[in-house]
Amino acid sequence: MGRLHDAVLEIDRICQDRGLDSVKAKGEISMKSGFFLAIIFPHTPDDTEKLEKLRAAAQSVLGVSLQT
Amino acid sequence: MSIRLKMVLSIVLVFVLGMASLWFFLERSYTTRVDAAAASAIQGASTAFARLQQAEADKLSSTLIGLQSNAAFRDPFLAGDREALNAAAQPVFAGLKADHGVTHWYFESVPPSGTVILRVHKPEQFGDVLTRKTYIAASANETQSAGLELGKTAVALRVVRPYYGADGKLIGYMELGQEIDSFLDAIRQQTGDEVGLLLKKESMDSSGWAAVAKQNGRPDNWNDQEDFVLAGSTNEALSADIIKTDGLTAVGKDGKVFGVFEGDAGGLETRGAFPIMDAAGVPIGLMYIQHDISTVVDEIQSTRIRMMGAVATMMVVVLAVVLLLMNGLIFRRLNHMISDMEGISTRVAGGDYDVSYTPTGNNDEIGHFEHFYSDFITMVGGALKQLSDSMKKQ
Repeated sequence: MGRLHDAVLEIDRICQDRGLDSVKAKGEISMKSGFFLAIIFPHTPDDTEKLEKLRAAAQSVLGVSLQT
Repeated sequence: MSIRLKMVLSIVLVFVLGMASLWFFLERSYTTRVDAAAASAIQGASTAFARLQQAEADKLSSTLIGLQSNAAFRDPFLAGDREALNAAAQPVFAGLKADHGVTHWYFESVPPSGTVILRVHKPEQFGDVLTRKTYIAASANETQSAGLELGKTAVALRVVRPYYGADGKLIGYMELGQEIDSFLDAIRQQTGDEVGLLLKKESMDSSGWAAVAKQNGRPDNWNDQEDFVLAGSTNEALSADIIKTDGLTAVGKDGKVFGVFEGDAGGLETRGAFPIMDAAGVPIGLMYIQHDISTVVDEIQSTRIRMMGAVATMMVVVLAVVLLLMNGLIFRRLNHMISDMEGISTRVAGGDYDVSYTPTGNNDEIGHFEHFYSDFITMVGGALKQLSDSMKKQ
């Protein structure tokens, strides 16, 4: 439990490091992955399929591979 | 393919179809106007011929009135002295022939004998019974009669007039005539057309025609055409064209246009013919016309090009205005709206639930959709915010 939330936190860090608008970036990643990142919490159950979609969307929008 | 491109292609298609339709219409109009110009040329030449014939008949009639008032002819005619009559008439006939083209002059008796008393133009021949239609018409009603008469070798305009003595009693008839060869040059001068005269062969004499041709030093052309013989033309090249023309027998009372041809000088000319009638209204030949229509054709072509240019310019302007209006009223607003909606939707998806969309305020189709989207995104943002809060508390 918490891997999806860790991935979202990693995205927040990347946006902060790059000075990006995190709301906009997370919105674009949400649209690409097919679920709202804003409603991912620490207690959100792990979901391998969602995690893979999230990684692919982050790669497409931010150009990085998530470590989570 | 974008809506904008689809609409541009549709308008271009309409433009092309419109220009093609206009071209088709102008092509039909061109053919109609050329046909009308050709028919008008034939009609004009026919009218010129009729007026010329009437003018020449009036001239012969006036001359007859003058001759009949001269006692130098009346007295020997009444006395039956042919030699004295001929002696008095010959000097006058020479003047009439030289100055006015008169080729025939007759003194004729009254019916029932109805014979030639004196042919001034051929005094050695006399005494034959008169059967020409103009004489029969004049003697039947004791009035003047005029018209064309086709003889064995030529056609002539004849005017027959009752001849009265000093006491007012009918003593005979006097007739003047002129061959109509000179009409060809006169019609050409009046109309500018080249003309040819064809005579019906059925009542003519081939051997007599050959003899006259030989006498005048020209080739015998009797067999050049089956039903007609060319009596003269204003142009050698036209003579050759006339000989090669088919369908001469199909020329009706209103004339016939044989078609439009390229002239020797490169211009366009129309050729046709109209019938000529004798004094009784019976067709005795054809007047063949060659009319230059280059000016008319150039004018029609110029009008066609100007019209095509004007319509094309107008359509391009309309196309440009329509595209500008479409761009300003629809596409620019659509692009702006799409950009805004994508940005707002993305922000909502990214967790900014307080974002809102402000419609432009236009009360049209796009404005209607903007209001709908504004309400919808506010509602979705609110719902997501409630959901997020509730999940956060779990």
